[in-house]
Amino acid sequence: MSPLLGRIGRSDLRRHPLQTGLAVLGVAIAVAVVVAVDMANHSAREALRVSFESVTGVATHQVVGGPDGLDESVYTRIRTEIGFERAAPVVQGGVTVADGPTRSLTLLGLDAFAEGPFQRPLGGEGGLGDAFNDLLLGERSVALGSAEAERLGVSAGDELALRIDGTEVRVDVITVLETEGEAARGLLLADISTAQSLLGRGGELDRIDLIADERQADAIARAIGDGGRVVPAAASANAVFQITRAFQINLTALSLLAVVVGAFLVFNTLSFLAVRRRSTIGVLRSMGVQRHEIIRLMLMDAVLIGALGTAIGLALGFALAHGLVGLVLQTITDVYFAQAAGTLNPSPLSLLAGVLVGLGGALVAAAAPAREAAAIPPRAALSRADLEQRARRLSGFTALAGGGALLLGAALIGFTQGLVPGFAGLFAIILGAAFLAPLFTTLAGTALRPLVRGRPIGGLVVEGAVTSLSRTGVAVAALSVAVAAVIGVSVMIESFRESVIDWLEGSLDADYYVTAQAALDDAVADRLAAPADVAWVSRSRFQELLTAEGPLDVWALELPADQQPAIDVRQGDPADALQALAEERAVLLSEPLAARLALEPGDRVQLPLPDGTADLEVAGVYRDYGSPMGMLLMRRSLYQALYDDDRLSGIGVHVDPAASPSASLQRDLEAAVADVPGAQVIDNAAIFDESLRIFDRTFAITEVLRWLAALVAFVGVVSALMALHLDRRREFAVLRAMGLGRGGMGAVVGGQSGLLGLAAGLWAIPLGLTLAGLLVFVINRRAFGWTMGFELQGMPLLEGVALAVLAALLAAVYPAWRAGREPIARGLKGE
Amino acid sequence: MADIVFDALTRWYGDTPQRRVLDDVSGQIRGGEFVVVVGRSGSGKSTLLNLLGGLDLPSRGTVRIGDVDMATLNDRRITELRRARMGFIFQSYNLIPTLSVADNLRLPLSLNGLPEDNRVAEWLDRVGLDGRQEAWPDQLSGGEQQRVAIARALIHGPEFIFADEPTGNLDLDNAERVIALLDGLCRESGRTLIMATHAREVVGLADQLLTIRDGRLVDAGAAA
Repeated sequence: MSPLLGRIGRSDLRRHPLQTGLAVLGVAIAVAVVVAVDMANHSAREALRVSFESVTGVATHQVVGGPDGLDESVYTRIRTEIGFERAAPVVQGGVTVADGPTRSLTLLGLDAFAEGPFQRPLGGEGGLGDAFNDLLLGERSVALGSAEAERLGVSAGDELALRIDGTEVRVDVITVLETEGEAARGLLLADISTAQSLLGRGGELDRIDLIADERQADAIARAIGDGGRVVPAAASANAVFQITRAFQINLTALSLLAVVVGAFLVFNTLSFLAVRRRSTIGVLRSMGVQRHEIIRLMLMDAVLIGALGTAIGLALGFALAHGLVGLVLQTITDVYFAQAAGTLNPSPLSLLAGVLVGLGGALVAAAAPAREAAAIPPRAALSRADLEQRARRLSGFTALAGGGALLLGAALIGFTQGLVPGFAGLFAIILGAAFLAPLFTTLAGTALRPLVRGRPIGGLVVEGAVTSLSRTGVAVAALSVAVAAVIGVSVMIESFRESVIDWLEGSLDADYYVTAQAALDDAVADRLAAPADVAWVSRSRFQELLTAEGPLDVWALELPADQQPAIDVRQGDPADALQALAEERAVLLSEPLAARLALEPGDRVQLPLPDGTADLEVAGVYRDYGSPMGMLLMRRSLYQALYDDDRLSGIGVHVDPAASPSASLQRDLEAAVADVPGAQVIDNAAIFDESLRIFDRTFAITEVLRWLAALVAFVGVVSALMALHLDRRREFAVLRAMGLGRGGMGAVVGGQSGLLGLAAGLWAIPLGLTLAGLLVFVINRRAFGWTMGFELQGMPLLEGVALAVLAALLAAVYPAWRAGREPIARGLKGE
Repeated sequence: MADIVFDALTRWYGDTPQRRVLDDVSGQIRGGEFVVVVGRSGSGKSTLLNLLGGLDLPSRGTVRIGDVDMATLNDRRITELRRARMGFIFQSYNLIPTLSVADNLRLPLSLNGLPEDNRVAEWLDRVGLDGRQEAWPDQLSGGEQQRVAIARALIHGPEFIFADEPTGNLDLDNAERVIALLDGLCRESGRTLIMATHAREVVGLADQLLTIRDGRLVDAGAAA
């Protein structure tokens, strides 16, 4: 190919720096969003992995027990009777730092003699060095990783005040171990006997970690019999990874929305380049430049725009990731209760994804405009009329393609079950609607024509907005997609929020909730029920059972005989389900648990017992937004029979309807639990507010990504409409020569832009509502198992239309200003 | 130089064969002739030029250049033929706006793999624009742009020059200069020049006159 052809393209891009710059900016923002989300997701996964590995090391299996853990004699049996050496006992419990800002830590009690093969960041005789003996012998000795010590502001030899089960305890930081990165973050290491003493777990273990193959694990399981169960060590981690994966897929899908809009932007820019260069292409074709050389010319421009945009986007993405990672990790900690503290962990694959999106997206977006430019016969390239005819014919094809994409999307959603096919269907629907946007614009113009008949200026506005289909269609499509995303996500979040509020109002039926760091018991519950204004109390025990499929959270509930649980049964007959629950014939599952275990009413669920398993019927599935991992609800009496555990985790206090909650009642309740370490009496309003605060914080990242996608579209439509108006300089010069003043010029340009923006905004409404519906009824269901109501409010729709019109009007400012001030003679020449 | 023979050339657009822009036009152009195609605006002269130059395809009829039937060529071959054997001059000059004057002239040489030698400077001198190599098209007057276009059309030594209303956007003085330049340059190298124009003052210079009216060839023969 002649090098002069490449110079034509580069020179053309340089001569239109504003449009070129906007195209590059659009690509850069799209790349930045993708890179930032991918890096944040990667960092979150790494933080979780490091967090888990800090605790489990390279253990392959774990021996676990019931609610009270394992008797430590089981460990003795494994080491001596069975003779298995790669076993390490673990005691683990949550503590908080007593001084300064509340910080939760995990106290990890290990046997340094057994730790060797497990490669935990803290632990092992070799890792502890000289401090090993001090740790072993000191009654209150702990060790920390260097990163954690720096965060707590302590060093070797200092005392650290902790709160354990409500009681303040001071421990000695005997050594600080050098650890890499975030390894051992949030961990306090102690000798196992020290940990048992501090946590009040004398004679008990939480688990025994094993490094074993399947045959060895089976042999150990048979040998210990009823003494414990052997589960894969990764079960807990895998369960959390599975749940957080759904959250991360949602984030990635949102970031891909920015890519789709960015691709439209590049497509639009290159389409406009092709249109602007039609006469040049015609001349080149008449001079003997082949079609494939024209295609190469266009693709080289795309590579240039894509490369510049990608380079800027990678840098922007890295910066954006620093902010996003905090939001992602906060959400994981808030919602999934997993220790997910960490910092940005850059991944080369994230950068590669950015390059693929930026360069690859630019090339893909350029393909169609390049092919079309090259396919036009040289004669037609010199005539603009044919351009518009061709565009109108093409609009028929794109409308057909749009219809096809809509059908494909509907089929993907209707005939598949997975989350990824769900998103694929959603994107197909977005694309289909985008292809139909130009047709909608044309129909809108047709509908408006009778209104402007006999009004030349009005006709200019309407005709100008719709007749340049070759250039307005893609801009309208891109803007409508982005505005639809703004509307759709807003409606989804509002719907979710309203559902959460409904759920909270329904399930927070107690007036006060009492919890404590130490376990509560029936005596405490009886004291709480004593005040005259108290009608009754509910008694709950929450327990996490470790299974081969991951942790299973159990909620054991006791109510007076005349009371029913305040839950919303969504599958199964509610009356039958609650009856079966009350009669201890069955259990209920929350929606996320039912989805995770793929169970429905009528199925059976297996619960691990200290001496076997219990096989229970599932009577119903209820709505619960409190735990993404899910919850199994059973009567407390059944739980006590299965697990011989009389402790309570929480007590709900119901005030007599004739009375009302009051400060004096709260004092009475607090007095009733004054001797319980760490006990708190919280009114339901405080829980309600905190729950909504966590909800709003969870969706902060969604809001950020939504507006980033809108920003890309905004840049795109500004670029497209500006290019459109600048290309009409001759037309505007004619109008001014005929006597249209600057104000009238502004009105024409602004009116055309505003109409296009309004068309995009109006088209975005049904698309946005469809998106919202899919997010509510399909995506959230498949990702998290949650059902929710659909709450349609007018504000998101108005916001979306206003955004579209505002973007379009802003795009008109510069062209209108220029059209009003350019020398008319020069404009008439088209120079 | 090869002859151009066209037979029953007909062109309509879309699905309306009854509305023919060109209707059953036949003729022959000998190598080295200066042929003028005259007719009013919309008569079909430009369409005839486009068909003869391979810029458009006839709905019916044939065009042979020498022994090559254009209908037997695919797009790639037609493009190669245009590249090597034809030059085009348009009413609105159609210089590449993002290339300098010199680069506009270099482009056909580059496309044909021909060495530049001193051709760019020579041709600019021949069209009276010596020293304007680094100027940009939008810095030139209309007449100057058309002269650059002439140089660009001829620099690679094509057999055939197609000029579609080359003086349509020029004043009388410039128009006369451009016609004289074009005629002179083509005759001195024996090139075939086919010009569509509605300016009858050009007629006197032509070897053959083709008169088109409403898409039909109403007169063909030596210019008076």
